[in-house]
Amino acid sequence: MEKWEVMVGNKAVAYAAKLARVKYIPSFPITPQTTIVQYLADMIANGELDAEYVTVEGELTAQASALTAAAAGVRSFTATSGPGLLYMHHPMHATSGARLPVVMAVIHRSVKGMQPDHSDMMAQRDTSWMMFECENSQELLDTGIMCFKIAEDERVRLPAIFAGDGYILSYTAEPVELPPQEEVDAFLPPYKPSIPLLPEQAEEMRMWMLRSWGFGRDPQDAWKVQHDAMEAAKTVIKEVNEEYGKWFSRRYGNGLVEEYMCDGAEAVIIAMGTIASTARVAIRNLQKRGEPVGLVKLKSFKPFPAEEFRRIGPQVKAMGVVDRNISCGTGGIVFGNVRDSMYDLEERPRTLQFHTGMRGKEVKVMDIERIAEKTLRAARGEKVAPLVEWV
Amino acid sequence: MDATRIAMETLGRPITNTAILGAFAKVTGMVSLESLERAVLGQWPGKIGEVNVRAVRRAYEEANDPVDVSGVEGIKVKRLSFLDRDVSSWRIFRPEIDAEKCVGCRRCYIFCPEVAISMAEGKAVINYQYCKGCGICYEECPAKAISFEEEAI
Amino acid sequence: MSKPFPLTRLGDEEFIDPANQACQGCAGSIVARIVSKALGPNIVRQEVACCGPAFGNIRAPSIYAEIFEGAGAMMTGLSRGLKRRGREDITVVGIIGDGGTVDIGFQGLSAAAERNEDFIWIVYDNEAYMNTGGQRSSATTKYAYTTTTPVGEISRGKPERKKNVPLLVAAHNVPYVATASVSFPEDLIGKLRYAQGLKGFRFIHISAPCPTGWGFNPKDTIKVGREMVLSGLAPLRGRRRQDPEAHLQAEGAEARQGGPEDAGQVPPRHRPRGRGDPGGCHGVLGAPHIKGRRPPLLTPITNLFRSNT
Repeated sequence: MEKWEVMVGNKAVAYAAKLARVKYIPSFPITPQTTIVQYLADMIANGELDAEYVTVEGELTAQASALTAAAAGVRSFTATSGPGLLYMHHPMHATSGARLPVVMAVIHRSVKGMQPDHSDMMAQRDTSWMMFECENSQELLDTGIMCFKIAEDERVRLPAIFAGDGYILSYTAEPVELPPQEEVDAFLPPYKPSIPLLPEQAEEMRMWMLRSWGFGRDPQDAWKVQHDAMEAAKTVIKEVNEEYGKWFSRRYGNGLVEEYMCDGAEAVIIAMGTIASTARVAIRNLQKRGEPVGLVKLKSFKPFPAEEFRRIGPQVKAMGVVDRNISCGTGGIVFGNVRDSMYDLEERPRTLQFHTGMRGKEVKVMDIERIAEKTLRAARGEKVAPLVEWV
Repeated sequence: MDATRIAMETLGRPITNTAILGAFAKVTGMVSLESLERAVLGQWPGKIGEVNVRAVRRAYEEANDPVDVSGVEGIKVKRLSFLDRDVSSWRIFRPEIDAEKCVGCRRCYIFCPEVAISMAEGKAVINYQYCKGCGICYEECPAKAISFEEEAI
Repeated sequence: MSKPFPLTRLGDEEFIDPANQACQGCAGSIVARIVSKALGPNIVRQEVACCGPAFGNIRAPSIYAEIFEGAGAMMTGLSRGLKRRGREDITVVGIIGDGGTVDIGFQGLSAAAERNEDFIWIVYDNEAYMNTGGQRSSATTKYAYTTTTPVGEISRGKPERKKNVPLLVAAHNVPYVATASVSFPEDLIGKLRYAQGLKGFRFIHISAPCPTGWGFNPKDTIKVGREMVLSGLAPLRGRRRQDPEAHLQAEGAEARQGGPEDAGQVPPRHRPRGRGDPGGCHGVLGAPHIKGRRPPLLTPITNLFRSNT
């Protein structure tokens, strides 16, 4: 039985946690995520969700307690933004280090203000968390549910972030379809505790501790197993995306990237999150004018789908990467990852870098059209300048 | 060269660092005795420096002359890990319980940081594999039933 | 209130591995041994970065994370998660150092106390950040030498007084706050078992002298601890919150059986008398037991936990 509701993005996130039957929710407010934890409080107060709801005193406690609750054996979820995400950086490493599948919603807020950009999530780039970007509220809900399944998969067991741009998604209302609870229950199996933390498991726990401290092994192994899990996650993400599509008739590209109007394209632009949503309109406009530019929407930022870009790269002559972030002193982070993935190809496209949308700067359709046109000209051999452009 | 004994006799404590430095200077010849003594006095002026200089000198005298070890086969040293739970090598002093005097009050039993003391038929018994020789049992025994002497190596 | 527990009633079973990596004469090791004996095997522990992992050879499982500031947070998650898993019989306990309690961990401590999270917070107080070599903490006694408050020509030791942690925790009106000493094991075991029979936030502050950091012969650890108590620097106190509705009753004290001694022995139950359980204060200085009307909160606490350091 389908159920449609017009709701803001934050409510869709709350529904994702509810449908996933999370059992431990530490809550702390920060704009623009605050209403997520408020919706969850309402759901619990009305008996719609049965979970431990703890109003903690700060995001560090939210993350640290989510990790021990996951270790104790229950499904844990929290939500944060911007500075709150920075504040929980320290325990985030422990969560991934202990291979605990905590799922967290990040509603993007710049580290330089209240308005959205991806700098908050990028600052956590190397914490070994999986990171997924969403372009609308439906995708927030669907990705949230998928995250639990991906993170809890035996081959992965890494925590996951699913993210959406603040204000643009969090406080804007769209129609969202709610999958029925019974079907989500069938899709998402119950949480399985992975750490032998009960008193009767004391011997097993001792062995677990020694293994996790790397006794008898190469000290680098602790990092290698996490990296291997991230690589394995790519397969799992594709599987879960496919399965979700079978259950709920919605899939998002192949789970890692989505190619939009790329057939016969001479150039593509690459974007994450709501910029991709705006870009679809721009691309349609260009295609109508006979300009063969496509859009590659990057959904999985971490693990970075290098293989996808190695496949797409030889098919086009230029790629324009739109970064809603910057690593000062280096450049756009997605741009760097894209170029890096294609370096060893025999035939590789030209790559152009664009920065836009930072600190909430409005991204208009015509901005993207300009970006796409410039990329197309580069594809056709024109000398375009500058190669790095702030839009 | 018995650094522990030299330290006990010069410093009154089993702190062997300066004695070992004296032996190191002799065996390797990398630093002269005078430089070492100057450094020690610079680090600890006054009485402490003087007794440490004495430790350095005695160790220097008692240590062997440098020996050619190029032909000697390597010795296999057993690598101890904390999993073995053997801390007996930490001891300088060794507690011994006189069972006749022991009244079974359990104070040494509860105060031993290493769980080295257990009760057997109402008397306290020390497991020397686990004993670090801290001396708490000796100090706390109300019946003065525990002796605490320097351990023969 | 808690009663001293005779050593002769302690069972022989050990819940801790012998011979750890801590210094000779480490009071923390003694604390760990006493805690494991008093609370028994049905516990889950939290460990953070401090001397704890060095002597942390208690066999019961523990979750260790280097999140030094997160002891309160992590024990919150542990106890809530285990409760959700239907295992409220398990006692969640953390043996945390003074740094992780009164300094970097203070936010977590205060918040967990305020939320009345269900676990026992045991702080072994060696009065400095000993695991990193003995730097000053706010629990360091005034004038004490530490590596960051050394004694020299111009300044001599720590200028500030010792932070009165039991008073601060008691001001959150938690179910149970007690001070204890490693040198008084009967009192400490009694308090631990008493705490295990209660619910909610319980805090036990144990004075634990450190031979390495304080510079005394390891054999004197217990002696120094005793002097700390008898001189008034670390007096032994206990306070249980008044609770008219007796929320503090353990649901089935058998489920929270403390200690492995004679079969059937359970910690004392706390029954309401007349108009609800008036709570109680006791201590070495014997603050008066207050019957009948609900007493004001702060005056008895400040009287009971007034500081001599």
